[in-house]
Amino acid sequence: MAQEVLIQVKDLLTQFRLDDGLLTAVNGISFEIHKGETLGIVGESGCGKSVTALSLLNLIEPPGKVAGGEILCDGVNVLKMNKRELRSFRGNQIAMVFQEPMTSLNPVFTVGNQIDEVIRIHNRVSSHEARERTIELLRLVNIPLPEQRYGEYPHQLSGGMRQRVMIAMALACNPKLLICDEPTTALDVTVQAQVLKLINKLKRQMDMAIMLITHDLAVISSIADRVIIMYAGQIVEEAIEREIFTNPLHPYTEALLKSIPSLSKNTEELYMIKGMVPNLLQRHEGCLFAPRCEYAREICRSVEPSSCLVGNTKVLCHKYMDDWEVAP
Amino acid sequence: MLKYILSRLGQAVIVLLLATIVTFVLVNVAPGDPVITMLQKRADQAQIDRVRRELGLDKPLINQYFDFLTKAIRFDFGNSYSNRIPVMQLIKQAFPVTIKLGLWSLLFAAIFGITVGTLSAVFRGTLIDKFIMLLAIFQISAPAFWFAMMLQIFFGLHLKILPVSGMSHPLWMVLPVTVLGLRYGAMSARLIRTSMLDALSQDYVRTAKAKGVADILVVMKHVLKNASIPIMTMLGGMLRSMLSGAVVVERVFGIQGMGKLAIDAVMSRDINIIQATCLYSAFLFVIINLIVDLTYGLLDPRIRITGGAK
Repeated sequence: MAQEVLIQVKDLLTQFRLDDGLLTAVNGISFEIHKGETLGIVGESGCGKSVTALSLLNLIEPPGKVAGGEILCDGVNVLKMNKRELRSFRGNQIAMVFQEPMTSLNPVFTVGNQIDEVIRIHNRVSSHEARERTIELLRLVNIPLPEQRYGEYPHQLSGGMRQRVMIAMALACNPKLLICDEPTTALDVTVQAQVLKLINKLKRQMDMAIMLITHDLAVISSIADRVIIMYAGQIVEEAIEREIFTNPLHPYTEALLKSIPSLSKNTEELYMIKGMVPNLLQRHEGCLFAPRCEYAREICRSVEPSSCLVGNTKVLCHKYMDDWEVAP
Repeated sequence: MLKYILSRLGQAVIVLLLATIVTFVLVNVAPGDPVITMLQKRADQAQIDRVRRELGLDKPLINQYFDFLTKAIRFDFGNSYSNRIPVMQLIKQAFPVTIKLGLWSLLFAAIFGITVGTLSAVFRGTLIDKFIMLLAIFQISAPAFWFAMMLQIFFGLHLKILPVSGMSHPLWMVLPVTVLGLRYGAMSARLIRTSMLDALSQDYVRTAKAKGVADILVVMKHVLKNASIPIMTMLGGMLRSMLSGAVVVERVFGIQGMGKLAIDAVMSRDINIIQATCLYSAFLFVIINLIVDLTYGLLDPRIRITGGAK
């Protein structure tokens, strides 16, 4: 699949200067997003998924900072843009849908007003045209009675409806990339499926790429083309969706898949990954997953692994490096 | 909505009635005899009795109260004991002065407080923030009378560009408004900073930025409207205390406003004025609270919907 590259992230390093020290939330990751694909990013809480997304928009607020790397969107480095360029970039080239639709919408403005706003920032249109476009967008995301909903406030809508409003808002300027940060986590399971279906339909309809952040592998399996697994600020595995589920390479991916409870198998105990996520304030030697890894050897605890290619899958693990068989 | 306003007005009447009872009782149980104060100890017992009869002070207290109440409903509070001028006339003279002083000070305080508080919140943790908060603490802790006197000495006596006191000079309001405005402005700056910081950390701020909204618009539109409820509450409180008369400032600057009227009445035990000014304060309290509650609905749609049903 030789597709055109839309976003290229190189050695992204995002850190937070906290009272207790320097926290490295995203530790030198590199990846690409192709035009029109759905890229899933999976990992547990605090692994740097959301920070990666916010970094793409250069939206990291102090005490956080993108300390290194490049983010190229159509060849332009997002991290080098000035304020004005950033304003016309955000919401226009890349738009984002956040996890919690209740708090992500401003409670004191109508949903119509909030969608109008993004249209009017990026386009020279009259308020009437903006309104027309907003109603059209609300219809596009399957909101019934869009004319009426236009004048309603977020608290008058249900959770699923609010997330649809967020999506409509993100789509307002036909972005090339839509980042969905756990778009379904706060929703009921039935509504989750509807929202995912909607995102998938819109992707095809509007020919945009999607970066879907989630901790839920089931969500990924339903819509992603490619998957990135993150652990402690690093990408530990990157593969096409089918490979991740049928042939996981990294021990962490394997463990994640094992911990999905199965209804068909009659298990006494649920599988869990032992141990804790490493404290990112401290310096670590060797592989960050080593303390929790069942395959870990001496080398894992002392030497940092480097990324290697197995088939079409990129994986960050000593197991797949040449010296594993003879490693201590 | 109308029902809500009417029920609030009904409550207001009850509050005012209670206020009349409390003031009436307090004035009458307080030691000292108004007639003796009024006649300044030069009169004999017969004279005192005659005046007391004239003023209706010989009647049982309960009758006195109902006399007072029936007249108060018609805005008749009798005459001042000390100079025989109708109380309403004194209020009519003092009220415009207080209104003018109060509204200007409030405007000053609101503009000052919102600007400075917002700046402080946006630049939190920086030198700007620390400097502003230090000044605010100074303004709040310095006694009003001291600060007023310092301004009088500097601008009135040394520079001779502003009047020290009185109301005859065209610029008489500048110093009193500065004292009141800075003081209330400093108090509000601290509160505004806190509520702005709270609003700034909300998710919808991040959403707005992700949409490409300019920083200044994020603050002025998205944050300020959300932070405005505590700000309104505070402005209401400030308006209330300014309109019931800035006692200290009016006294220091020799301004004939409601505060001075009330204090002078207490000093000379002028019962009619005391009762009238107390009732006026209670009335202000009730009305301003009602107005503030109604603006909540304008500012926050969530209150508008549930507020009507309450």
